[in-house]
Amino acid sequence: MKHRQPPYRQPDQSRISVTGWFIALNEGDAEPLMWENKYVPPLDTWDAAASLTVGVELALDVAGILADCQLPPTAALCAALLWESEGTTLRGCGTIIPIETHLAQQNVALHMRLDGSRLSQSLEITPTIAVSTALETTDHFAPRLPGTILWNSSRMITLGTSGMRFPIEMQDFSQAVNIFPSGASWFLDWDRESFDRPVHGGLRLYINRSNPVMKRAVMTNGKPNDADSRVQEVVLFDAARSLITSALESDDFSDQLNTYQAGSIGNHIQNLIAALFPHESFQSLRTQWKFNRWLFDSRLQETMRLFQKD
Amino acid sequence: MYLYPRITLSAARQLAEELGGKPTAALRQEYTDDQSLIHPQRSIFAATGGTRTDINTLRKCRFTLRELADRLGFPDAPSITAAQTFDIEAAIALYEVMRIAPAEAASLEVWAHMTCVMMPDIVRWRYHGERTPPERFIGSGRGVRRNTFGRLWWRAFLFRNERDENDPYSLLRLLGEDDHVQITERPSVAGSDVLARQIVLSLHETWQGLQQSGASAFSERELLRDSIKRIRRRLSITAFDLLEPEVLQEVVSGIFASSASALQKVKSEK
Repeated sequence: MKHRQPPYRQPDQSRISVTGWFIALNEGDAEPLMWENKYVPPLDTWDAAASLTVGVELALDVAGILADCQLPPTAALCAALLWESEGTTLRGCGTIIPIETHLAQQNVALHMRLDGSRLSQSLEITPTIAVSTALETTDHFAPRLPGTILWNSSRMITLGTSGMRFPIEMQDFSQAVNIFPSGASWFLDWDRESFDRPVHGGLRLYINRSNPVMKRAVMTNGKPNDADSRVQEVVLFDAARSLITSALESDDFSDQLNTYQAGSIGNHIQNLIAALFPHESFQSLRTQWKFNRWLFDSRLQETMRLFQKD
Repeated sequence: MYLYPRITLSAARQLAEELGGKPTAALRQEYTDDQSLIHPQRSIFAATGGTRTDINTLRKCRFTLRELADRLGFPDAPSITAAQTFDIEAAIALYEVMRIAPAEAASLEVWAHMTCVMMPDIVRWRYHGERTPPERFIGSGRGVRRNTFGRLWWRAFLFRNERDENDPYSLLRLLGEDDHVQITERPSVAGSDVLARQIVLSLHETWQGLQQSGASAFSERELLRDSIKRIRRRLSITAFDLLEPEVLQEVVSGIFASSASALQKVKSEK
């Protein structure tokens, strides 16, 4: 991953410690979810009618931050939680807390309440420390412009039942018999001619919620049992087969190879193929598939290690 | 939050291909009954997230947009001015009538239902010609921002100014089609409704100042394009969303002022 060095001084990472995170659905309704490491479990019970409360606690070595950035003690700095949601593409900011730059150390509790109707698919939370108003300084490399980011650190939370890497929606297939066969377990919906569409928005896995096995397999709160894992494996295999074989069949995909933007279905398929068949070119796979598509399906089972995981 | 009927994207693609070449007036006749508001064989709703909208809201939505199109000459192809008027008035009508939340309005399936099931006649009329491209029925790689109705709702959402009690949609009227595209089709800019509104306000204020001083050797569109580029360059190192309103105004207007003087310099050197 590329790391871009901004054109101004930034504090050493050790000057800021994140001492706690929490997130709660409908404040007061449920026990807050807390975590310490980078993995954040998906919020399976989330829906857009709910609100979210997010809190992050920071311990700041204020004197150290000012020294590293060559800023005077009169500098106006602030901290806040920024948020961004992939599904709606909206973003915003929680309560802004001024940093007491005359103190050597400060503990800051950042807080925000988010209206669930502005969120979809995922939520990125980024505690941020920034310059709040323009600064006068003689140091050419000191951060001085309002809004300049001194430090930030992000966490991504999956909202809803997306634990299987696809946007998922639960539907009662028996109530929509003309759209889905009522006895089917799932349906992967996407426009097979639009590889340029974003995965979040252009691809949706409908799960039949009237099927208890399927419902249980996707509503696992990030803790699937063996049976749930097997069901997830089969659905993922079927989805991967549908995506990959549509790409192999398409002349457009072949012509546009390597041009799909990050986050698009085309790019997702390309990455999937590269991960499953790292030593084979797309054209070679295409030839194999055209020559014997049934054998290709079996090769896919092998590379995806279907039912081979303990 | 209100939930709106949806169709699957695979069904939408099939319908968009069929509808894209049909005559406008024939589509109006074909899509008149309540079955084309919530289709028993095609419409689904999200399972959670709110309450289902009622048939009267859908009727009102279709009636309002059709009445507007009729006033602007439907079924004859709209002039550029008529298309612009439609876009502004339809954006306001969709926002006011639908009362849909962004989480629901981000769904391609919701807008595909509106274009392919409820009002394909309006889509064909607004994007007239031998064929209307599928992206105007469904959306594109840029999400709902290419869908005929989805893009209009999002414009109203972004530019609605609560502080302007007399005309909360005045910012919508300040922008031409190209200006809207410059802002709304760039998620880094349009992701923040606060920033998007400030961009329009600063554009208007800077442009008026230049007009009064008679100093502009470039167009308003050039000013917006150059300023957007400057804002996007700053986005990776600047948290615009974290600025207090008066500081944000100062920063964005400062970017427009720098852009204006740079453009002035380039033009005078030519």
